[in-house]
Amino acid sequence: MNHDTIEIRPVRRDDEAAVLEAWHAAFARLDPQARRTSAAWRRMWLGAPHGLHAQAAFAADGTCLAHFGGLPMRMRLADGERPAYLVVDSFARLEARQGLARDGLLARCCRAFIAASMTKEGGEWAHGFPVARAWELGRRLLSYEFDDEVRLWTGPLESFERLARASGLEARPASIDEGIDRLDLEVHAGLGRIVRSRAHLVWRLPDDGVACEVRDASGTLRGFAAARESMLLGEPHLCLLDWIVAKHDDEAAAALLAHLAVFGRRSAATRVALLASHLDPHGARWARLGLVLVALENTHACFVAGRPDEARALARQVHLTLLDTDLA
Amino acid sequence: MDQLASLSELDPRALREAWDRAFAPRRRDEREWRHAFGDGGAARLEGVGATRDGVVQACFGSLSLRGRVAGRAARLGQVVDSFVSPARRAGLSGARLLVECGVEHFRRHGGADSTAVHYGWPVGAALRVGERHLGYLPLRREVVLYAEVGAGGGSPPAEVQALAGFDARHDRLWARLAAERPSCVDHDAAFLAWRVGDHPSRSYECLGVSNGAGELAGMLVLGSGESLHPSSLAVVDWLVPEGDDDVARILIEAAKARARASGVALLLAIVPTRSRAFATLQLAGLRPHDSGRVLCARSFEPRLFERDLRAQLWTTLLDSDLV
Repeated sequence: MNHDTIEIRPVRRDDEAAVLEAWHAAFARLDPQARRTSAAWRRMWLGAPHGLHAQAAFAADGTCLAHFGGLPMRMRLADGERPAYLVVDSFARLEARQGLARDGLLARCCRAFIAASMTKEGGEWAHGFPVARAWELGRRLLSYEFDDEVRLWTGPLESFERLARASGLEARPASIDEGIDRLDLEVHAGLGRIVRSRAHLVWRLPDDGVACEVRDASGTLRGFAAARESMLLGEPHLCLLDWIVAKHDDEAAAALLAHLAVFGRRSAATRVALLASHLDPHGARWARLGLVLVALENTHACFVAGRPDEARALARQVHLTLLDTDLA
Repeated sequence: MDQLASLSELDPRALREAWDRAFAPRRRDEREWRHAFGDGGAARLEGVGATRDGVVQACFGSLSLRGRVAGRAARLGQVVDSFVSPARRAGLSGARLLVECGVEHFRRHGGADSTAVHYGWPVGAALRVGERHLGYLPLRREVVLYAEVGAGGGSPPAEVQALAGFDARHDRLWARLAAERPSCVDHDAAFLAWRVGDHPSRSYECLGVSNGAGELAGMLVLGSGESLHPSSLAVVDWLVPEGDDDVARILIEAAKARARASGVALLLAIVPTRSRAFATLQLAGLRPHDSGRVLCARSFEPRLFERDLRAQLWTTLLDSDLV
């Protein structure tokens, strides 16, 4: 491969076909079922409210050889907001892989990403959930910092139904509006969070899932939840993507879980799963419902350009849900 | 000028004096020192110290323990007794000296044919120093599992016996468990006799369940959990084969009864998060909580990838110096 003719540059809208072809070439070996449609690519990369942030290596004939990108979000911390990126779709096609060479194409794409997207405001935080091999590569080549292994709360679908019986409220399909960010601010006061604006949720919530809400008599939003069916741990799970409910609001929690359970019963899922976070105010609730923690082989990895200590400290401050990942 | 030497080459009295200064007000008496150096078989203390004018300035060591790595017989080193003398702690020179000792320790005592994997739970700056300079790989944030045991007495289930001494039954139980734990310290009768039976300053209680043939079906070791929670009893070792859920349930019930009887508020345990025991203990009513401790390892076994180490390394509190 002649590296002199390889160009590393920001991914553009019209790179869709080349990047998708490379994505399938890179991931089909690992998972023959891996498919990404044009619509899904456009939604993921072109639909992001904060723009397209990805770098790729292209051969002279336009073939995409490697790709490193981050889905741009805003992160709210006690001392203000800063940009955050969910690192996804980082790959090099087989013939372009160079093992642990520091000047490999993936590493060069990563450095280009950092230069273009992570040095504007200062302290931009990037994180992701690589599988074991990708983590090892990221640690050695891309300055990934270890936060923790990824853990899920899991249990039978009946776990959600158990609490659901206790509610006098009724959840309904969510009318996603800016009230969600206000609710999130109230519920998760003092915790770091990926900001849930209306635009963010419209972008991130999947079309094939369910989103529901509970409001009080005056119409004020009291709880919000979203879920979808997804393969995790080798079987279909009803995955709780997002959960914004006051810690002690058992009534709202029960109504939301009842709504999700109905959706779950119509799916192939027999189990539920949600991302475990050491900051989750509802940790005791999930344990009471009989869910247990299960560790995945994925690692929660993160980095801040030039500030390794800060990356991990930030990871410890942010309460994430599956909506903030690419796991479900 | 500091000079580096293996612990076995140091003047024992100088080492003990330095240890006393570093860990004051803690002191080790003669029996504790004998135990700290290991029994020579199941455990032996290895390390490197830095001396200046005959005074030990810093030390980095591991307790090298007989076990298995990737399913093969090997030794694992629990990093312990690492310190810089109070007079050298200010500024960066102390950290630098500790790193020099660590690097030399791993050069002398780290290897697939010597001590293949060194592990520990470094706190604060030691974690960062270890990652940057000593090749530590962070493997997992440990999750402490706990249950509030409530008040009152309650006797343990009738099937549970208090075990006194360690014998061939423990070895046969361990042989079953070792097949499930490819990378771990051997918790066989010899190890338990040294670590639990002969400990000079800590007391433990072993509870077991036998099967119909009189063989040990499973056992646990209980000890004080005060280093993790002020009013707790800890399951410091968990020796129950995977799938023996009835044995697990009975032993946890017995442990809760012991905790109630001793007047503590909590029963707690730490087992690997990717083990079946982690789920078993949760289903028995123990809830997870972030322990704040990160298990790290430095591997010298070339056949063991980081992902395997993360998935395989089986530790309990008994593999630490917390209990």
